[in-house]
Amino acid sequence: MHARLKRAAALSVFAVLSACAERGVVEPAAPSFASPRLDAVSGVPPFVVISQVYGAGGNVSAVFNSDFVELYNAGPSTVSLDELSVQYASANGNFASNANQIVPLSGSIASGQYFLVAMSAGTNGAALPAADATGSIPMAAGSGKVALVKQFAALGCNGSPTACTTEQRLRIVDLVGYGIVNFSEGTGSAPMLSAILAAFRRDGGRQDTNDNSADFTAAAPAPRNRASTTLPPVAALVVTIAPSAPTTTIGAPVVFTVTASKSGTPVTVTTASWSSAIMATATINPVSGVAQALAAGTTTISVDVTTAEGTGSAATLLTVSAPPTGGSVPAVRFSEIHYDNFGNDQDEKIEVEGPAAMDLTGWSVVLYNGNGGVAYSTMLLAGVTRTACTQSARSVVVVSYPANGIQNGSPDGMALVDASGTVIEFLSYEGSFAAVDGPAVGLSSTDIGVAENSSPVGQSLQRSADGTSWSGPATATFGGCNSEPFTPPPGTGSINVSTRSTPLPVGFQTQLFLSGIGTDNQGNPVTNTDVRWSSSNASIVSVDATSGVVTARAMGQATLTATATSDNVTTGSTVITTNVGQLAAAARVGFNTALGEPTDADPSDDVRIARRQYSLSYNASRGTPNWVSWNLDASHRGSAPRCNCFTADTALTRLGLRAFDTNEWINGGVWSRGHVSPSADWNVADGDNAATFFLSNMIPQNQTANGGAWGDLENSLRSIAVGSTQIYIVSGPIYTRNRAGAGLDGFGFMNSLGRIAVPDSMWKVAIVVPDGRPVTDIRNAADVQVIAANMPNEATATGSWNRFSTTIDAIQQSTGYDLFALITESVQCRLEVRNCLPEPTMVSTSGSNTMARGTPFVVRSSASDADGSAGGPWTFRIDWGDGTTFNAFLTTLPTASRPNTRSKIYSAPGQYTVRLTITDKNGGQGVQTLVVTVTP
Amino acid sequence: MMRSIFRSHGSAVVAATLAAVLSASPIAAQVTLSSAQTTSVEFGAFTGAFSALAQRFTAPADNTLLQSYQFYLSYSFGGSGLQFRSGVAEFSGGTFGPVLFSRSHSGSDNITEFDTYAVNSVNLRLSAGTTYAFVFWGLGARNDDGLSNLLGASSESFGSGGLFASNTGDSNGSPSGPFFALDDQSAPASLALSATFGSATVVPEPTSLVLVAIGCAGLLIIARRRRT
Repeated sequence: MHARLKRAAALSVFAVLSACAERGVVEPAAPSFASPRLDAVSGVPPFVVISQVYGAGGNVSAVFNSDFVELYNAGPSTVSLDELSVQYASANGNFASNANQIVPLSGSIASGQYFLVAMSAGTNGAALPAADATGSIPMAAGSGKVALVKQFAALGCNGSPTACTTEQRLRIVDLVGYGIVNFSEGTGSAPMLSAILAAFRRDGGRQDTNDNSADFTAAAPAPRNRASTTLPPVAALVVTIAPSAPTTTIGAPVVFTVTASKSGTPVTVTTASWSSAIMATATINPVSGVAQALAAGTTTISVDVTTAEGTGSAATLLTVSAPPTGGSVPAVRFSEIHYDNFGNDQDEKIEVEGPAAMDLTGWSVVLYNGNGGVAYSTMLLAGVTRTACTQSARSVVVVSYPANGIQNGSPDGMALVDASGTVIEFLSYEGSFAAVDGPAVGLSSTDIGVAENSSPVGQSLQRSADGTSWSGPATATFGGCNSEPFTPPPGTGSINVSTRSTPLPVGFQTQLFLSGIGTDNQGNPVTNTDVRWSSSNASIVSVDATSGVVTARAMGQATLTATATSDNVTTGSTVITTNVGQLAAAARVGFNTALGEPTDADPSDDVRIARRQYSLSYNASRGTPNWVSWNLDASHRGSAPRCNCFTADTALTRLGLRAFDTNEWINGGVWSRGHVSPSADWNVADGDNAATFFLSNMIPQNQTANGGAWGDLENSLRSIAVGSTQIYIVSGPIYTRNRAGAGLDGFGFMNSLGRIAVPDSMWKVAIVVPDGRPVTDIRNAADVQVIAANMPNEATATGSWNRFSTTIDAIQQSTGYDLFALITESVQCRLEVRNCLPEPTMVSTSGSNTMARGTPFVVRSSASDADGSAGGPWTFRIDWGDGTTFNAFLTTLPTASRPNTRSKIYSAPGQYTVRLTITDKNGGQGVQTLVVTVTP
Repeated sequence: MMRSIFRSHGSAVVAATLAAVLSASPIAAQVTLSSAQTTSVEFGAFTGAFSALAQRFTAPADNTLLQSYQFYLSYSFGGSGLQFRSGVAEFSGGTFGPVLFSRSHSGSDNITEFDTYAVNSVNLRLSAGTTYAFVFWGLGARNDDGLSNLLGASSESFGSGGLFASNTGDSNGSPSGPFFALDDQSAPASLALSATFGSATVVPEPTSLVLVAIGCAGLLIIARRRRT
């Protein structure tokens, strides 16, 4: 990694390092983490490095007939390559200055495995082994730059003079500059390469000191792929102290233990030697690791270990505080628990008691597994305690868990944590233990002394009114204070939660709702605004406690529970299963803008997001896309279920923009979350379909229109996307200026919140290529068909889409975007039904644009205009770049066989930009430029 | 007899001679019809438009004798092979009348500058305040796409003039028209032309020549008598 990259990364890993301060890592051969901050931001796989580079493939005397880049996973686990790309830059050029310098990657690479990316091929040399990915980058044989980048879009920078921004640097996972280049990691670049030399990362790809000159050597190319023999990464010996950074009170001993592992495999500790830095604060037995707290303060506890895999050390802090005053029973405390029944556990709950109407926002109940001391569940409390006690100014809150949500021991425990993160109580049942993580880390639990052992349904363990003792099992009194007789609730409430039949792809969201209006145990109605949501496992599926928006975090299953806030007792739940969405091979990055990316005169409001399924420009001030571009063919269609996973676009978040979630899009009115690139256009694989549900691909759309003429247009396009037909589609909203009055464009903002703007019309244009020919082969208007429509975002947009047919040019005029710019102008103007622009050509007759001062510079100009004579007369203007011009009014355009020839003699040396501008009678202009260098 | 005549009328002869010389002296005025050449207009591509161009102007009130004019020409394509004529024609009632004067030219092959074409010894007397036009038209086959030049033009108009064009050139000594006004906003406003007008011809009238001859003879006789 480049030195400055390294410094930037260091900032972001600070928190990680701090958290890991109690861990010691020995044996520095462990590969460095190429871009840890990037990982924190966007999930960059760590440890994947560029291990070999060869740029002379196919050249004379080449060993292999193709350039290649080889990757190596130096990490301990399999890494997904999705969203990564290999990008190339010339010795002094910007990365991926043109589109064919990017190779998007997909799939995964196992620990110790190589991954071969074949590049541009030639005629000389042997064939490469089977490539794991193929690109077309023509790499330079001797000097160049290769980067592994966390995005598919072009990086577009280099070391100098177009220095990469911090954001761009954070996207670089690994960088190799070879030969004489302007950008590399560390103090210098990798060696100059040749037809017989490739750059090898030393130690089989495992050495990564972030210095290309030190990490790489040149040798005969020997490409390795995923089928090649793997090379186990060099693992570090990790020494871990438990508990980590504990807090204790004077007189309370702390028992420290130490473990060691390598590559995740435990290693037996042969000897351990403990010490305390400040003996006045705490002493520690050097052999047993039992610390005695003597005085308030903090000391560092260290341990040196020996193992069969080498030696190591670790350290952690021990904080000693004075015993709490005012007794050991906190004002807010656990008051009741039920965790075990005979057979299946039912109605598991924990009750917390505190002062009446106390605001518990930010408080939480954290459950701990006594076997290892690890926290396994966190349930956030919210709102005020319900006034439940008639004979005292106290009240209770009941936290409900799904079946088997509370472990049965022995032992297991629970921590009550206040809004500042301070542990108020750490209790356990069926024994005691020390917590090794979470808020109670380092604390030893207090055993409540009673337990449930297959109790009958309806029983619980209860705390005495003064909080000093526990009893039970006995009839549960959840919702009532233990200091007074319990009055059972008048009835049994019921809340039903919507279910999801298909797995939720990891990284995507959905929103949970109640199925109808429920009732709590007091018979009060319960609606969506009357519940608090929680997850049984937030590391798999997290949920927003208020909105019910859930996010799939990892593969697995979690139970999502809605608890009525009116009694904090009545619950309903549903189970959500997650998976990893699969992507089809048909989804190709960049193909969806093959006819040209829309551009307008003001790029400042265009936030570009490129996905395999579509590309879009997002307008942050409107919360909607400016346009979405995608291609549609038969290979995109399949049977994957509709994802219904409307998701805040994490790409926006990574760019520092606010990404609205599905809750912010729902208002219950006429505006639906209207796909711009439709879900049904991408149902070949569930991952592709899910991608269409990013809310950056949505506009607030009139529900009638969405299912009316707009839907008719979408269906019509899909009906012709058969055989080899390729359809390139661009679509977006129109916000007519001041349409809503008061300076508001379109129909103003949804719910007048100033977040998501509602367009007053929506447009779609499609170029249908029946034989799927590439854009370079579209030479006549008859080669393709055009569909263009612009319809109101109102309930009047019903029936056939043909009612709203228009021209591409009309849409261009309305939006300001130039569409399909890569189609040759002579065809493009016909398709767009507009004036065809002159297409000038200007060449130097000498073939060189460099001449000595005083020497005539002669250019030969010609032009065409697809409008023919109807386009003329034309004005012909040459701006010589030195303040002088030549102007003519032409009745016929010069042609290649009958060019206009002009000459210019520059009086001063320098560089001049010669600009030929031909303007037709309708004002359409074509421009051609030449840069002339005049030497002294 | 003759001698007595000259002697007795010596002073009168001198006066007549002076009067004749004075009456034969040209009184010329340089009149620029348009500003300097800043743009140009294609001319002479016979199968295209503008086989002929005409720049309208109004004859001065005092100096009605057109003595010379000049225009500017540069390469478009085909170079010097272009054959064309320039001249002056009547323009009345929105139509062009007969060509009053014309001269043949060859095209320019100058690809760097505009060549100045000077047409001297025109000596065409015009009617004061009457509208005429300088006319340029190509000669040769009208399907000759290989020949075209650029007439120097200006973005500024002058006087009551206007720039007219014709798509039908002519090879018989005069453009056949019809001409139409170039009202395209991107078209030059006028051709870049300058012309010299005078109040009298530099060629003396026959009666003046007789008076001069008589006067000179009288002076010669007087001189000989004085020597003898």
